[in-house]
Amino acid sequence: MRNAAIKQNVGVCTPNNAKIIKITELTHNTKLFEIQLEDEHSNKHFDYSPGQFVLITIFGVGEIPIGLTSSPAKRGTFELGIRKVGNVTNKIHQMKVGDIVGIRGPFGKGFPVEENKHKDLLYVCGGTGYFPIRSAFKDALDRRDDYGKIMFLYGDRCPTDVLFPDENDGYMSKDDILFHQSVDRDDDKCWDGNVGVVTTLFPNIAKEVDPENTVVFVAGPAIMYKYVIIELEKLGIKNENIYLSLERKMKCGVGKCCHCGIGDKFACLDGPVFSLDQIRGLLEAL
Amino acid sequence: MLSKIILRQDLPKLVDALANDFLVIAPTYEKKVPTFSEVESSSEVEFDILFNEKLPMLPPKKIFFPAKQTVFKYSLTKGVTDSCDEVSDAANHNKNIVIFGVSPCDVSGVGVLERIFKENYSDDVFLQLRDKTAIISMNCLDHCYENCFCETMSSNDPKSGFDIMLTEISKSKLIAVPNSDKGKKILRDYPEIFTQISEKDSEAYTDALNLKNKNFKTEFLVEGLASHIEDNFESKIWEEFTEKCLFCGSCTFVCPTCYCYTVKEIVSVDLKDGERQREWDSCYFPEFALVAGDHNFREKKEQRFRYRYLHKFVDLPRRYNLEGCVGCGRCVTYCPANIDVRDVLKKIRGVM
Repeated sequence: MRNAAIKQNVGVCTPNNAKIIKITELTHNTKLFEIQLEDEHSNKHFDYSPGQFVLITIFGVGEIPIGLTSSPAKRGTFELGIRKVGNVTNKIHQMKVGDIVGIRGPFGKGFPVEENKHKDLLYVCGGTGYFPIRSAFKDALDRRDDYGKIMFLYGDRCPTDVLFPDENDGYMSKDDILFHQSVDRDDDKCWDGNVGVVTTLFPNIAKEVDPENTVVFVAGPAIMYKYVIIELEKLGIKNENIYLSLERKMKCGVGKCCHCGIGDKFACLDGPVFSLDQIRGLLEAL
Repeated sequence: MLSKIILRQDLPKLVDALANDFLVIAPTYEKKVPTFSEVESSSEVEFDILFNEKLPMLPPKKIFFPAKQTVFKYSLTKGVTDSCDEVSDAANHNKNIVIFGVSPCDVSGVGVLERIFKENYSDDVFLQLRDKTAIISMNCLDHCYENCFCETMSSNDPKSGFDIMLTEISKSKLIAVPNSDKGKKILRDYPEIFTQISEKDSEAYTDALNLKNKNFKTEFLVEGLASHIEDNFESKIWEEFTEKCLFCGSCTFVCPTCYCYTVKEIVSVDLKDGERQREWDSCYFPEFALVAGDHNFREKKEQRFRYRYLHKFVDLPRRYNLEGCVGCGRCVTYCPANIDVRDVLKKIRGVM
């Protein structure tokens, strides 16, 4: 596990000034922000594990935790995928290239990518859960030979909400990735793929999964977890090989403010990624 | 010997001497409420509070972790302009700080917070203030009032976290035992106040500690409490207390070991500059675990009531190997709904 590499010479409470260098509109309510720290030294050493998060400050508005969306191999800048859902994210969506934001982190325990080299990987994500999963997925593609099979199941609400459609098309045409996507509803009949919740994609990979050798990374809304877990258990995958990223409110990101408490753990220090094994012993987790 | 004697009648002299060299914080009455305040001379100090052992309403956490404080300042367009090093209270105090008259349970409470703010990622805002502070503790030889259960929580005999411990060895004399370099220096620096210890004083000190040992009683068993709370997670007992609770957060604010906080952005009227303030928060407040999209991870009142116990008596002991409660009884004293933390724990343990 990589640790926060930014030299916290301003104290862990003070953000590092950073610049938005690129904004990509993904859907009507999601954008991908490419960000660079102003301090060159910090920027050079900004290193993270997939599944870790940063706290992004919009000065004068507030600070929120956002999962890193880019591959750690991408150095010099990093990406954050953000959906418009609250005060801070609404304001972020109004910002322009060149605007200054604050960044603290990276914090938390991400997906165990190093520990599971040579295993088969199965990613399952729904909605904005794609963002942290994308970091892990791209990381695996950057080191394709380190892993066995790579399987990816992605579900979103409707065709216009689908994230990274071009990237997805690319993955689907590749031989060494099993990529499947679905939308819950297709009211305008503009989707030629699978319609149904993400669990309806499981039959596509059922025969490919070797339950003894597969590690699963899951991110999405809480409601999705319950059903995904049932499917994964049907496949015979052990709880200790299933990792889920949990969302919680956070103010500090470093185990002080207590907002992200789950049972006897903190999402910011002990998570946000927990194994299902851990979650089974964690009160109020799902 | 490094330990010294101070006459009870000389305590004001000590405060005045310290006030020349330090910023002194001592027990006073503010609007008739016992309070730790900055004092310039001994005339402001209520020594009565020390000897009648009334705990100030707010524990000394407020000195290192004020109810509201600026964390950093910024320009809305350029970002951070003054980091926490430049705006913190520590940076603004030229003098070192002495807190005079802290009870042993409060010393333990500061110790809990110091550990939490130091570990994992150290919180400079807290630690800078803590590092420049010396604590002169006033020993307790008996339970100070009916709400005190410090012996149960093993907090009345801290091994560290104070610099000098004052213990009454007779009606007119106290022994000053140093517990750190800072404490030793203070005892050396004021020879006109601290005098040599005699063999008789030494014996009287041992007698006092024996008396303390005899006087303090545990009220209920703490061993195994963490797993007991987890095992009773679904118990109806939580609901019973939830019905009484007003969710005002008073217990969390007066608690020496509660440290939850939230942050707020304070923006200037010209919308050019701002500052981030952090202020005490309470896990009893409904928005504590509320995220965007109106999803609340602890929507029900009993979940919020229970979480405080879960955090204090399960998470803290496991994570830091220390008790999340020092048994000062403030939460009992200041609860408007008459909830007694001891009753909750005893009921959970099935001994009430």
